[in-house]
Amino acid sequence: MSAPTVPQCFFLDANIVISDILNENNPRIAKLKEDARLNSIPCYISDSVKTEIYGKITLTSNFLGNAVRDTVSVALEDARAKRGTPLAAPMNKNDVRALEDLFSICHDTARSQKLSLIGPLQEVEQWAIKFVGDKLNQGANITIGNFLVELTKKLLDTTSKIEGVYDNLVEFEMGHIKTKTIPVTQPLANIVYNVGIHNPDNVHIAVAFTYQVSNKEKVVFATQDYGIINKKQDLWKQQIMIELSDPLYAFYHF
Amino acid sequence: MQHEVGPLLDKFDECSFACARLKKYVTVWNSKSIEDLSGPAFLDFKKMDFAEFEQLSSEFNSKLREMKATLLSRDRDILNKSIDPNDPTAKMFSRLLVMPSSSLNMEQGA
Repeated sequence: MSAPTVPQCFFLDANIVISDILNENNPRIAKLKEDARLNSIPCYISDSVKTEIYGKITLTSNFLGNAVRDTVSVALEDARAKRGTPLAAPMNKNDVRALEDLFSICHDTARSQKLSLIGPLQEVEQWAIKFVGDKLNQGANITIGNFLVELTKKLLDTTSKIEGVYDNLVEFEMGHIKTKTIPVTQPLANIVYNVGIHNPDNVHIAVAFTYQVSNKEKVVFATQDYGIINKKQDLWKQQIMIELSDPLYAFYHF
Repeated sequence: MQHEVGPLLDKFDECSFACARLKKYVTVWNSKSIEDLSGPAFLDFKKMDFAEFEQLSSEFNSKLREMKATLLSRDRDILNKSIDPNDPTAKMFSRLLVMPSSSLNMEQGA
């Protein structure tokens, strides 16, 4: 491609940065990073994206902490009390079946109340059962207390690693991403919202568009959310002329 | 040497004080006796004032972040780390992260 006549930059959505933090080796994101590196195109995120990412990491950590403390721990101890088995006895298949009963009730409750908790609970369920299953297969003599401590340690270890990578990439800007602090114009965010792009994505796009206009730079907003990308024509009809693209194609929108 | 290490030690001190305050707060409110202060048998979140705990946690996090920034200003690779995407806990965490935030609200059900 020929040299650009106007400066160019990418604005990244939270899902792209999260994938990067988790080291997911997503080929679509790898393509965008390669394009940015080879063509010296800066990659920015807005403060709103930064807030969304950190909020999601915190929310997920809290959810997992609560799930282990209030759900797994309480269910195992209650089931032991009903069976008259001492808490200090090693775990066995009855404890796994107590968890099965617990998660089955959770699934039923969530389904009957049409709650969206089924997915997250299933994740915790699969992880906890795999964890205890591995211990039992290894013939480990593990008590409920030890099991919960190990589960919690694993969670804390993973959470602190993820927060560490977030800090390095976003807070300390050690990678390819830089944060742009641009005040959001609420009427503009409202227009984006009204075409069907919900909060906080409407704010991310409003900020990227504000940057494009005020800095006279061509911006491509890269996201993996096709619900957003497919609203491009609606945004253009509202005179919000910003490119929205999957990271795989983002470079070709300049 | 003192000129080099001094600022690092200052940051380290701030961070370790914040850590000690948080640890003492948790320990004291979970201790039934003086002997317990060296390590209470059980830690119960409900015994603590959540707002106070959160404030001490956030102070510690902020000091930790400042210390990291100081270290990074000297050696950019010193805190370099990456997530193992094949680790089961990391996989679970990543699947939860991409779910809508509303689905992680425990008060909805369960």
